[in-house]
Amino acid sequence: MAAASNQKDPAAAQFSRPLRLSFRDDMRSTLAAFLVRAFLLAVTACSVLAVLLIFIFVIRQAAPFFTEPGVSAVGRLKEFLISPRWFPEHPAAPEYGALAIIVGSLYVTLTSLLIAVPTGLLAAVFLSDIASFSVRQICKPIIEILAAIPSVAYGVFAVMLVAPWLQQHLGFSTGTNALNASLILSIMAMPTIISVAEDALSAVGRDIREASYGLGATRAETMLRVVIPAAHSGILAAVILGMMRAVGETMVVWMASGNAAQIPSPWWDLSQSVRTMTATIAGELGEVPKETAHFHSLFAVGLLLLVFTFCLNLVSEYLMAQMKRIAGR
Amino acid sequence: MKTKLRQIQNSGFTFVCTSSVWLLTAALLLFLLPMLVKGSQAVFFQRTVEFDKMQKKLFKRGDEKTLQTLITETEAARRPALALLDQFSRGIDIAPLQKTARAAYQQYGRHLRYRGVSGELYTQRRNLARRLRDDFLQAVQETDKSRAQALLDNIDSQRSNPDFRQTPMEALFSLSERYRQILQEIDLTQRARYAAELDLVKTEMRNLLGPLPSEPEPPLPQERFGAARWDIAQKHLHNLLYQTQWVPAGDGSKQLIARQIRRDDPAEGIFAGTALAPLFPMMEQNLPAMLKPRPTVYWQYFFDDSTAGHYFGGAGPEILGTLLLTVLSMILAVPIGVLSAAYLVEYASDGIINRIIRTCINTLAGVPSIVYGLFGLAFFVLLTGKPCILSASMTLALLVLPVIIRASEEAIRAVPRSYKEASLSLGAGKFRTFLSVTLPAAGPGILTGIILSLSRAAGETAPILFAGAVALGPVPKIGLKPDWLFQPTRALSYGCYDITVGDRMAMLVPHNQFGMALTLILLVILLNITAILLRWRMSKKLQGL
Amino acid sequence: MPVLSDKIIQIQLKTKSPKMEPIPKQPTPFQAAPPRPAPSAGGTQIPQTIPPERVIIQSKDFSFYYGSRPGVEKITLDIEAGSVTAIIGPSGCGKSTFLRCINRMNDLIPRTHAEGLLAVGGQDVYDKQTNLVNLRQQVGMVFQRPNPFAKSIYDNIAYGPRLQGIRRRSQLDAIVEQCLKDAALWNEVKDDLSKSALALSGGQQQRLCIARTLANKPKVILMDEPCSALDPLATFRIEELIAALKGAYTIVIVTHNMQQAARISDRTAFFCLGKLIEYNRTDVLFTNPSRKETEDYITGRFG
Repeated sequence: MAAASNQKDPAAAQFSRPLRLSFRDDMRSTLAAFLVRAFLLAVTACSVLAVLLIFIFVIRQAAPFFTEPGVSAVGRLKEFLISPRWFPEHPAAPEYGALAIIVGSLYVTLTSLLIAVPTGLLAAVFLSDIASFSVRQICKPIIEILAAIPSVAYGVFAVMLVAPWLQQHLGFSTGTNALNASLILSIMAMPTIISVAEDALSAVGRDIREASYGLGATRAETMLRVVIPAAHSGILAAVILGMMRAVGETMVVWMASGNAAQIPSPWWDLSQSVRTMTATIAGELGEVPKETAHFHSLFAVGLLLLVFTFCLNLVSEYLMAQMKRIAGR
Repeated sequence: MKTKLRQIQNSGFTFVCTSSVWLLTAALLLFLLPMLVKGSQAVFFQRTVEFDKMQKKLFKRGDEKTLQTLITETEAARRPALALLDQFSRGIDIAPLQKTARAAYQQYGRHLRYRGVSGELYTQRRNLARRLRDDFLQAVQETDKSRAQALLDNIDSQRSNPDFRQTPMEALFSLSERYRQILQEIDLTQRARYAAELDLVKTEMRNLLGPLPSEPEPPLPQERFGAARWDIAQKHLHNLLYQTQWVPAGDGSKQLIARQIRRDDPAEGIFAGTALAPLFPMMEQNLPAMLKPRPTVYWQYFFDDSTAGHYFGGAGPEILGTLLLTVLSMILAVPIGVLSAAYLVEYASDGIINRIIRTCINTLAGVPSIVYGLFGLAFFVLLTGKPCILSASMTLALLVLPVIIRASEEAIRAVPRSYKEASLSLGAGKFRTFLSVTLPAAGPGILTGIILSLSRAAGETAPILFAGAVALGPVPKIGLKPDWLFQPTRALSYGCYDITVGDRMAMLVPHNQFGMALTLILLVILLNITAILLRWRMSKKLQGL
Repeated sequence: MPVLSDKIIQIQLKTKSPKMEPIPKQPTPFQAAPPRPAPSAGGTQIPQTIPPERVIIQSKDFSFYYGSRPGVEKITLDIEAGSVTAIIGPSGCGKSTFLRCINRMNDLIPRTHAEGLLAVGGQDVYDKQTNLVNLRQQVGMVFQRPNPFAKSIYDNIAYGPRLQGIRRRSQLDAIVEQCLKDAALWNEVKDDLSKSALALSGGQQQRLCIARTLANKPKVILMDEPCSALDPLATFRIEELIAALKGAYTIVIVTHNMQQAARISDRTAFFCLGKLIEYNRTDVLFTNPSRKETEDYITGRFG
């Protein structure tokens, strides 16, 4: 190397601009590259910082709920998770049992998934394997628009049109109930499920399909026995992402679920009003004075929600990675 | 046989898959069509003369002369009905008489003090005046005619008292004279029966035609005008014509059902056979003449401010607030998002740091929107001091950050490597290449992502619930001084919520509830269609390459 | 047959663009079959060995690795200034890798590293202190597929000069015109320089890419199979262009087309499986190869 740079070659003189950096330029460009990199890393780290801050600040506001003087933290936690009695505004003996609202959240989420998962999965099969190119070109925007409609607009729809309809035609005592919320939630969760499940189905290569068709299988057999099993991790991820969408949804459940903090009994009675964690936060936080146990209890509910979705997120990420590995194989 | 079964299974599967997409499309239509039909009534409807009055008064809009002619015409049509009502209510509705009597007495007291009458004399005259007032108040409440007459005679006896000549008390005397006449005409025993129903009738008349001629200007703006829209007028007309009776659904049934009875129904109607009975057919027939309904396109809906509860006016401040919030959140989020994407594509290696960053972005995308609301309240509001536009925008910016990062990353990744190579081979540096070649080539893709996150930010409600959205408040005045950043604002999404379940007044104006929701939906769909078209053009361009 | 096709092409050219300027006469007979004596630049005979003062690119035991897999191994060859050097070989032999190493284009590929010496103008390009911007400015590159930017023709060519800080419109105009003329594209596009470069045909785009490279006033132009995506007519135009540029520029061209190498180059290097098998004057390499592998390859008996 040294020999080359020391070589006195007249051809080198042809280059009008020096090919070797001067010491100053070298330092400057190294420094500039480092600075650009560091700057970009710092900007990117904003996302990490945001996640940390969200956790820190929600925990910080939730912590006083458990460390309130005069109550044992374990007792509080036990009451919070086991008791279904949520009466935080009781003047003498407030009760903070979140079980009913946790169950309410899971209740509407699961019932909505009961509708959304089969429909969404079948629609994904249609888009990935049945629809022609032009039909797909039409369907995709429809699903995108379905996904883009704001939840509050769905909420208006649920309160103003679905609820009276349910009341009139199905004879419910109130139209804002678990069924109403579940129906709307299922429509909201479906676009997520469809797009992720379709990605999963497409990630299963054409060669596997061709192998199945080549052995004389019909399309239904190919999809049900080969493609869907092969795409199971991606489909599971789709279901989980849909679930996250439904659990985290606020406005629709707040407006359409009736907001009665109770566990439905009998458990299959969809015509009863329920209340979810999100709706509890949304409905009560605006009214409570700051720095009260009630205020902090709502942050505890939020923390529960945050931890729950965080775990679901990690699971879905793991499943997506698995899906990519299958696709890459 | 087996083959046949398999074929049936196959076509059944195809059918189910296809129908699920149809179901989805049907759901979208089932949602969009009613919203569209009902929401468009906020803009397309039949306006009445009251609408013109409201526009003139609240928004200084419309031609003075045509309005005056309209008013004269409608007043002429209204006069007989109003006279009828006034005539009938004079005996029934004693509140105005009582009010005038009390006022006369009070003014007389002031009159005495003004004249410098004091001491013994003052007390004596005042007591006399009070006795006369009480007599009158009792007279109007008296159901027995002769006793009422006696009380009125009592008052009349003081008429010639020089103390009362040329004083406010003369009003009381003329009032008593008038009541004496009324007394001749009406049946006092019916008064209790009619009073409550007459009150309802009067309320509906006010709802239809605005404040009655004898009444002072009401303080609330929504009470200053009658039915501004023909559909609302018809609703009020129905309420005017029919009384609701709750009757058992069947024999021995506990459930009650509503029964509508015309108020002038000859058999059951309460006002049948009274002097008021002709009012109802009159109103039914002459309402168009009284209100002059004309089709209109109220495009100012998207700009007008509204009165409390959105009773009159449009959704202007809400739209402005939404635009402010979304644009501001984009200004905050786009640079961070695009630079993050640049780092992830161009600089990051597959290290642990990169994995952490990706997990965090995914987490950020999965955090429920209400938790963003909590965080906004616990952190951003702490930064800004109080819920305001800035804190709400920051919350929304955080919410759309992962969307922007993902879209930009995808767009930057999709730029062919040959582009970068061409630029590098021409001697451009890495950063320079990114700025002058990669970024412009990825531009449409990034723009698509930005538009989609705009629509996401516009539609989100939960994050701004506690971070700066209000249902009622002043319109932010945008200026160089950043004061407006530190004010809360109205927003379409929050407005939709509030007007649907939060505001009692809004229940009376369903067109506004749907109108605001539709405005939000249209805004979001418009943004989405723009993004779809942009992407479509982009893919066509890539195919053409 | 070759003569005939030559004529047809000429006729087509005339009918297609009658106003085209006459291409400067170059000693580039259009012949297809290899053995033939290579045309010499300026009529002088190409020396067998390059005098050290005329070496512009020097490679000595140069290896380049993708991860742990070598792309090229132990390459030793010198390239003469002002000449056209062709690199031929079967696909996957590392010829493009080597070419892309000369102006460090392989930096974009993650997890790669280089060993040995590869010097341009006496400067080891893989030295830490190499001025990459100046290197790439003066060692331009034309890629396999034409890759104009999605900008106007004018902006494509002005891209390099603008990077160097030339902002004056008149100066840029002159550069654009000159480069388009040098790349024999001026007559075809002079009327709408503001048209998108993507609207040009493939051959025109490739000539635009060459013009874009020329605008940087490079000393060396690296061409990575510049004609592989083009039709024969466009290929012919590019080859003419290369012949015209010879002397003023040092051209290193990678090609999978042996006839092309024989037609246009002064020296030819034959790569196989990442190694340099033979490097010699083109006429010698094609008529009298010294290695068995070379002979097998150029006579079509290659595995």
